[in-house]
Amino acid sequence: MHAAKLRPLLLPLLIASPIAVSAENPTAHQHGHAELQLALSGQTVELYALSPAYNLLGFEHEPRTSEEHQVVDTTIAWLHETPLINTLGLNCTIQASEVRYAFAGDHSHHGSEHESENKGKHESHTDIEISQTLTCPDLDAASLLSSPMGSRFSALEHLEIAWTGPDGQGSLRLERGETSFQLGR
Amino acid sequence: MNTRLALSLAAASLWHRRRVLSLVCLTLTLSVTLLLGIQYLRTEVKQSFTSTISGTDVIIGARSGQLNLLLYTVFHLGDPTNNIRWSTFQQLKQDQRIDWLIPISLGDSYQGYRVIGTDDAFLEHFQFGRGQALQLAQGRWFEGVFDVVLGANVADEFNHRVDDRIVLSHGGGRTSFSNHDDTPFRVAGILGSTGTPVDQAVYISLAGMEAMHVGWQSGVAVPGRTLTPEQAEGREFTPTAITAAFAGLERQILTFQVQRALNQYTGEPLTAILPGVALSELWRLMSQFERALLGITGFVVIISLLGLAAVLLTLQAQRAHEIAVLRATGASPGLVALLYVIEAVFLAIVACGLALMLGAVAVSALTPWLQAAYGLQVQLRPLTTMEWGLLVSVPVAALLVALIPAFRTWWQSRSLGLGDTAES
Repeated sequence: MHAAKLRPLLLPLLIASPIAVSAENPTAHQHGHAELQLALSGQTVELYALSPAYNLLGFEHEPRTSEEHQVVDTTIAWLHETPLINTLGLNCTIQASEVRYAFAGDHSHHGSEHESENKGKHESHTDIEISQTLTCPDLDAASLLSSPMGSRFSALEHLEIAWTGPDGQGSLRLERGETSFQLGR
Repeated sequence: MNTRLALSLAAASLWHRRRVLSLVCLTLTLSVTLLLGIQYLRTEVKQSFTSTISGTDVIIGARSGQLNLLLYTVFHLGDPTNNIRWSTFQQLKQDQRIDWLIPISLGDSYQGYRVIGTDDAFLEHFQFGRGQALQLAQGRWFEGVFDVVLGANVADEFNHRVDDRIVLSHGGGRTSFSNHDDTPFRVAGILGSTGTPVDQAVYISLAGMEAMHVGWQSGVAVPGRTLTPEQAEGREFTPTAITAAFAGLERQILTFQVQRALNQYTGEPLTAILPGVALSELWRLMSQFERALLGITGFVVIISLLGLAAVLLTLQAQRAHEIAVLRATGASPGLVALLYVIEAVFLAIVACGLALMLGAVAVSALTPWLQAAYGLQVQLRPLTTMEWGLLVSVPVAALLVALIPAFRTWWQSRSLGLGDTAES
């Protein structure tokens, strides 16, 4: 497509382009917004999710009350046990998972939580990072996939999904209430 | 009800009103062509847009926004914010996770087209469309310091051939007063057409990019300090910085990990983007316009269908005598009403068929022009499910529209009080 013809349309977009993170910059933090990255290879999916803790827990401060500790425990256990994407046949299984939350401490159900590097530096904002390795036997390029995150976490308004695989790369956005999507260019 | 009788009566009625109805059919044909054409072009433009680059897993540049980096490296739009050090590029080449790297060095132009300093990896690894590699239409890839390879459109516009001599300009812009007159380049080859921004650039070696800037200070050549091609031969030129790099990874499943690692690179601030992800985001921002366009076209079809209803209602007033005769000869109110439905659906089906033919002719005729003028690769292809859906919705909508005069006729026929003798 010719660049000169596109210039009037595309140049305003430069102003709106988001700035990528670097070593010196803290990660962007926007309540209601979460990111999901999917790297596909055959039946294997490497998944990485990043969300403000508020979206998943309802608060970002260090849990103080027993109710807050219970919310943290329940949520982290759910994030460990639930594939964050699945096929229509719900055949994806977790091979490995890791949840990073600054205040997981001793209150988590599983031993693989790691304290965030940001702990103590940005106490006003806390993120939760989730890494999962999934095996989905019925996964192919045309598969209709779903994510349970939108229905599980009501504070989550937008889920930005980026994917890469043998059929190329792409991105899409799930709005509140949307759970299913298809990877296609 | 006798279907054959209904069809033969409808055919006779259509033939009787052929002049008026052919105009209605023409209006409907044009609006369906427009609707289908917009949807078809929308799909093709998206395909062409997302096929601009493929096979490249990551684009690496100085710290910037992902759309900015995508636009100046792939679409040749906008300007780089900063460069990345050559030493960083060399370190990235040592990274075991990275399979290949294409250096991209920008800054100069030829008659308004971007000059891209790169190396052999560009020809070897750059892909577009569905993994199509670059092909040389004439000559060979650059070998000497002052060799240049032209994109297809650049060669076409200036009618260049292999072994022509061209002078590159310092900086961008179509009109430049700072030319590298002392270091003309020889056209070594011309790339085949790709229908992508690759066609609109000229390619030289990184050494050539360095050599033509020897003796330049503050954007001006210092007299006596620039090199002649003879002086440059045999010398080593190593860049200190490049603008960006395209990377292919050993394992695609590591793409996001590598991206995160590059974005946290401690040597210098870098931005790594996934071109396919950035293209999707860019298309999503632009898709508001195409949806609006599709919506407007949908309204054009609705207006045409309302026009069809208006014509049928107008004709209804003139058909009072005909209906009375039909009823007197035993036609039931249902049969009379059915005539309107058959006529409207038939007109819509004919309009859809004509629209398909018109669209196919238009696509075939306009393809070379779209390719030449806009770089769009539009090809004749079978309709998608959505396009078939749009097409089928037209006769369905015509059927619904025809129910208005059909019901009116049925109601009025009953009041004629001739009974339902033809009902079966």
